[in-house]
Amino acid sequence: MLVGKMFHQMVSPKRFYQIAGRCLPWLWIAFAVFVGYGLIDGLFIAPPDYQQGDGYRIIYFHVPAAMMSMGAYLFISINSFVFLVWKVKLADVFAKVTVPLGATFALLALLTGALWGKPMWGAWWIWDARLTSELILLLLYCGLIALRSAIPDTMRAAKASAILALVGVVDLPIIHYSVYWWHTLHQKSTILRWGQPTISLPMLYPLLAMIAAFVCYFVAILFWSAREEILRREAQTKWVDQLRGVAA
Amino acid sequence: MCLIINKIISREFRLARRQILDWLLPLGFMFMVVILFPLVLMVTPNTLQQIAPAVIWVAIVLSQLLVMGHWLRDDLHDGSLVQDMLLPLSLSIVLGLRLAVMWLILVVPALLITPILGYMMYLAWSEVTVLLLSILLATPVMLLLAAFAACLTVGLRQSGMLVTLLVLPLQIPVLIFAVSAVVSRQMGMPVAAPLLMLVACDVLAVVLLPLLAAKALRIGMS
Repeated sequence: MLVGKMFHQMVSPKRFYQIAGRCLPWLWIAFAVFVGYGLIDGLFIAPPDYQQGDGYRIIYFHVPAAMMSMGAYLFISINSFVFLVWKVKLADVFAKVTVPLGATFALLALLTGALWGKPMWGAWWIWDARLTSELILLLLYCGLIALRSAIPDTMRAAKASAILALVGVVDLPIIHYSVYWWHTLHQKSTILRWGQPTISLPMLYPLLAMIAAFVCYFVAILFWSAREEILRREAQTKWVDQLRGVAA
Repeated sequence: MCLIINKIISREFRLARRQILDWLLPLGFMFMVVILFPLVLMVTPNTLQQIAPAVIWVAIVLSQLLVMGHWLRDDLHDGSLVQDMLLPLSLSIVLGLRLAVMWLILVVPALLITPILGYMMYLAWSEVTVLLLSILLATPVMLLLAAFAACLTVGLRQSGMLVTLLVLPLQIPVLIFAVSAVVSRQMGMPVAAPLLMLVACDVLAVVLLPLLAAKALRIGMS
């Protein structure tokens, strides 16, 4: 009973607004620390690759962006499920603000991959399984944006986007395992695998730091956009009036 | 229960019999798209043979999307969609039955016309056989995905284009499997793997998508 009450308090938009506001400075500080260490170590201190020379350093943007694009979609699908099953409105707020964020990560992953591929593979683009399925992920994000903007009624838009997000989540295992199921040019997993990472440790630590930095950035932007969306949705309530300093 | 199922199925067939252009025009569209390529490209038979599976499959997908773009529009406007939702039968079963009949009506002409198209694109008969098999196995998933998108966007202004844009990313993996089955036969490799993946996609789709489509339809009609 008490747990239920605590849970309901946690997912109330007003409570989340306050908690998120307090967390935001810490998230930005954590982001600054991780990105500072990651970039300095990754761009200057880590040794050059024996095959690719210094050109491999774009990995410190490409890999975290690609991981975040898939993580963001997973986050959206979990929130969609929570919204459809338990009707938690905060879950819909999260799903709505994460879609453009995830789409940006996917686009960043594709663009940095193209920048990396031109000197290393000789081509800006190749139709191999990993790139194709990441492009499909970007198109799925665009579909989610298109659907939500095409439906004028907000409740129907929320539920329809939730269902579409759930159907699209089957693409995630396809992306991750595409490098194993098909013969591809893109290399296989080096971190998310059973056993030791196949990347050398001086290169691994800044990569992990950049992944942590991207996660902090994602959560910070998520909280920031979610707070704005909550203000927009709850504009008629008393607590928002109090925030604006308007007499009740 | 059986009476209702009979009535739903016979209604679909009756509608198809009365409005022949509903399924004949997409067939014509598919034919035109495929013959555009050899007409315009004027390349060697070898090149046509290489692009044939993809071209024929893209033509099939586009012609199906043409049909599904406005599948529910007329039913929405004359109220029969609401009547379907009020039947004592579960909405997912009603949609499943309608889609099963629609699949038969769309796929049989496509299967009949594909050997002609395959011959025009210089495909060998063994490759045409694999192509026919891939059409038989992949079109249920494609149709169910398109129907799901149509239920999501029922009544919206740009629903036709939206259905196409929403469903193409979902259909791309299935399309890749279907085309790679024919390409495997062209390269002399075994075709069992992609065809079995298509069967797996079918099973998933038939079990899950009618439920999701029914839920999407209820949301759209609420």
